[in-house]
Amino acid sequence: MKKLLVVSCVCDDKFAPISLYLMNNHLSDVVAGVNTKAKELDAEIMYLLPEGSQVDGMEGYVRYVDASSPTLNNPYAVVQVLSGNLPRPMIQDDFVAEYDNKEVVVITPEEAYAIQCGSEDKFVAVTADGETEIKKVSAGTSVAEIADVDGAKAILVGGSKGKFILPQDGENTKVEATESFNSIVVYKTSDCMVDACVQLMNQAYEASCGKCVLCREGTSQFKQIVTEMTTGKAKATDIDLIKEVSEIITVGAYCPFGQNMTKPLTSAMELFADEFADHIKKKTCKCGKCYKAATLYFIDPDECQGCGDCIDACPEEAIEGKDGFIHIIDQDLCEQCGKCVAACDEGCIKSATKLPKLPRKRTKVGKF
Amino acid sequence: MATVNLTIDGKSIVADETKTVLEAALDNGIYIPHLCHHDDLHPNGGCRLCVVKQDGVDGVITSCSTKVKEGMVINTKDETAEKVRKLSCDLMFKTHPSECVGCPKYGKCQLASISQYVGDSGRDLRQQKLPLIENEENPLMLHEMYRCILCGRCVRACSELRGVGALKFEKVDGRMKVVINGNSLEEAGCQFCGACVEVCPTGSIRDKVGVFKDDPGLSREMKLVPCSEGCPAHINVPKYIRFIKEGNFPAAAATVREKAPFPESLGYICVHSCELQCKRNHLDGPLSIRNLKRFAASQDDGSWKAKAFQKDATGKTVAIIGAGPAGLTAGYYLKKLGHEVTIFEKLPKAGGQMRYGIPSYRLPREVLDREISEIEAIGVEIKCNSDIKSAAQLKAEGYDAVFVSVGTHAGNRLPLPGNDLENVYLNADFLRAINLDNPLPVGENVVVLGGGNVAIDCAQSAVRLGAKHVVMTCLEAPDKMTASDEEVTWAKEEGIIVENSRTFDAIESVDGKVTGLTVTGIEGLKFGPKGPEFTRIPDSTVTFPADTVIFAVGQHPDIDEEFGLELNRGRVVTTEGHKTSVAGIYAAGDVVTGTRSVIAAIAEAREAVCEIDRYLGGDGNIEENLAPEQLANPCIGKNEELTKTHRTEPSVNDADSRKCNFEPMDLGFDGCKAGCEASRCLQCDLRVQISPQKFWSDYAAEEGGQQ
Repeated sequence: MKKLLVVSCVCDDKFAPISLYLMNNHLSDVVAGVNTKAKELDAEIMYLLPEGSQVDGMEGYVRYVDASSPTLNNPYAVVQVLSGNLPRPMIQDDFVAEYDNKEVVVITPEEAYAIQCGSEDKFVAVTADGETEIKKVSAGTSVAEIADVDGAKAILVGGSKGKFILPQDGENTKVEATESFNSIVVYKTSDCMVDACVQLMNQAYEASCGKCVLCREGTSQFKQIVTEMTTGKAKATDIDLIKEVSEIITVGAYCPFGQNMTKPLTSAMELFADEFADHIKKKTCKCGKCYKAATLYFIDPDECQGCGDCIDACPEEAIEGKDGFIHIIDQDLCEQCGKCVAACDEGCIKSATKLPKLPRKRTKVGKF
Repeated sequence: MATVNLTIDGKSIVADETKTVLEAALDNGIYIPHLCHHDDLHPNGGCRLCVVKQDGVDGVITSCSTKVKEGMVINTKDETAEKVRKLSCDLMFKTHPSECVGCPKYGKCQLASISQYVGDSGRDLRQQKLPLIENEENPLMLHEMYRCILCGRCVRACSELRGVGALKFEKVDGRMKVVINGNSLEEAGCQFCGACVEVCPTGSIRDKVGVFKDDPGLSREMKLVPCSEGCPAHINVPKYIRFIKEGNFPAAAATVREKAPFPESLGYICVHSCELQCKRNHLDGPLSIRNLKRFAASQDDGSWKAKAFQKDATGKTVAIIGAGPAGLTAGYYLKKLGHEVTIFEKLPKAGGQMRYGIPSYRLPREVLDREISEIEAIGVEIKCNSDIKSAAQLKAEGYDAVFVSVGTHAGNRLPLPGNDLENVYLNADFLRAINLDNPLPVGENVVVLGGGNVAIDCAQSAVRLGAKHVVMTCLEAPDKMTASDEEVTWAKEEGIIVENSRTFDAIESVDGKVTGLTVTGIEGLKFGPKGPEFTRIPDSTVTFPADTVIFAVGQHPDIDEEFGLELNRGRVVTTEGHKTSVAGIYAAGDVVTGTRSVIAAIAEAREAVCEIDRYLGGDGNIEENLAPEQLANPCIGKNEELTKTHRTEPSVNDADSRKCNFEPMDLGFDGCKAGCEASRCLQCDLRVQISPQKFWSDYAAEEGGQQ
């Protein structure tokens, strides 16, 4: 069977947009590496680029796809995307992923670059203060040499599949020639680590392709539990729960992303155990990120028609009320999901940081 | 094929090298839980239940997608593997409804079965139940995706097995879901094959209630192929329809003949229970199965004869009383089983109701003659004009067995004033006389009492004999009449007036001459144990003018005690195995059941033949493969036009040209119409090809395994 070498520029980690950087800045090296590989395999070449991206000087067979997934370095996942489906990897003995009657082989620009230029040159994306810069470094360079970690609170090394380290460990963590990290995210002392984990777990949930139960449901659970830590709903036992479940997911998930997506969370919990404990037990956030007066939803008592639509829409059963009586949101149960706002045809569910005066007991519509 | 040696749970196993670890284990009675795996689908590996420990490999391996290798040592009960399984189960149940009892799949759910096996860890994970959206809008199939655990079997079945791709994964509000690949199943090119339902382990995608019979006594094949199940003889309908689609009409005819020796006659007059069961009833109307059969049978080239069995002579003799569909069928198969068969027929020709009841404009006699001659051709002797008064006596004359199939050739006469007047006829007598070429005289105004197909036959025959005004009247409301809709429509086209919901009061007469039928309107008709119950509507009594009245209110066997068999309400009493009260005498068909249908008579006669053959020392096997093997291609592809085609109607002579003669009126299909109609078949039988879902207890029972 003929082969198709797909250069996947859509499988980057969120924190390490290396592919397009290489395509834009080192195109000739990448192309040379791709060509070498293609010759070796006797394969045709296809460049797979994100929808809307632009690479100057790009020649040859290019496909643009509206998908990005950590699984898109897997040939089967690539075939799925090329066929208009969601990416799902297939990891199986002797499995041949076919597209257009050709066996698909995937290479990343980074790997292609390494073929041409050797694996001593490494590219690392450094994110600090919301800015991301891609740096070319040599193997053996430490995190501390690449990024300014002085005064930082923590450093996430390796992005979604990586782990948090403390700044003082920045000198001992070095870029390796193989199996290395390609992103560094610097967290400031004012950053809340629990909040950071909420963001990371949201990203992991979005990145999960959904094929494997442990990753799909695991990210969904972690996302919820960590979020609950920032709203006071989490329990003390949740720390051990996450640790225990993470260990199993690391062994049991289907693909490398699933196996490793727990690491940022578990490493943060390890390094910042007190901060997590404060959130759960004391329900406080020293950084002032969490437990802020979140947006509160309330039902305007002057406008409510007592129709019950919001009651039906509320997944938490947090809305009390009867036909013809003004409905009231129980703020202890409310999750601020906002579904009631969409359900109310009258537009009388509003939000504020402080609640106005509301009925305390059951009140007929129009009698408040 | 090369084999490899491996060890699973301490057991040495030799497995074909193409097998996966999971297959090798299951083949050897070692159960490994698995959910996203399905025998007919490509491995997936997503459910994480089939993980096992392999010696020398870190972590766990996915047994459904790992091939066996020489020297492998596998532990399926490894602690880590079990932890992974439990966690996977835990997580799946966090989004799946926890209450099983209310679920329609309760007791047949693979997820529930597996979770029982794997066990619950009781972790304090969060409930993330999916919103309860019931999407019942799809024809035939129910999508209740709040039960979906995303194993992806349906998506794979639809694309891998069927090449349709009507289902796909999509992230909806961040959450992965299985959705329809378009605005509706029809638009997505769904062919309603039900593969998705067949592979769904939970109650997420199901058949709508009423599409299939929920009878635990039915075999899987009968349950899933409603047309074949609906046919009393269980003719393989999808198979012959597929032959028609392929243009192989003789093969289609042979398929019908495997279960019934009158393919073409049935094509004209079968009551087509198959069509009533057709899954397409729930879509846009059933397939015109009878007309397909008729066309195929008309193209029969006799090639099936080379494959028909004929056993050596057994030296046993069997007498059959009555050469109707039951008697002829019995004679045909008994002769093929090697017995000497003599059929005694009271009337001048064989055929029973097919000749003396059903009018010739519905069943051309040359078709019937041709099919009867096939039966005579194998050596069945038919003695016509032979009235047998006593079955018991015939048996005593030395036959090894006797089969009674005298049918119901006597009409029922209701106890009405005037019911014995001249020009008051019984259905059976009236129709028989026409077919004996000696019709009973009819006047200008004919009233037929009854609302079944026989009443229609009487009414239409009366029209053809010259009656000017024909009225049919019956107790039943229009939608409750037993006559088929099509027949009623045709009758009305011929000017026959149908007066529904009437009870009959009296046949009026002047000077011994019939002048009319007095009826009263009724409502609230029910059939209780003592017959019909209803309320008379006051002031609704009318008299239909008539000079001829025909009772078409049922028929009964024309036999009495002299026949020598136990009777109940005039019918022969049989016990299991179609045995009568006299050893060696069997009975089937209308004489036992009361007036039913040709196909029912054939089906019952076939059963009786098996019994008689066993009684005579044979094995009772009359199954035969007359049609060639058929490879049904399961990859049916998309069809966005599926619901845009509609039932093909046959060509029918117009009322004016048909009502003056007894020539065939329904001209059926030509090859083009047949091919077109055959392509409407939903191919329910394809679903039977899919391996049935198994539970861990099935593996244990089947393999004598360790569980």
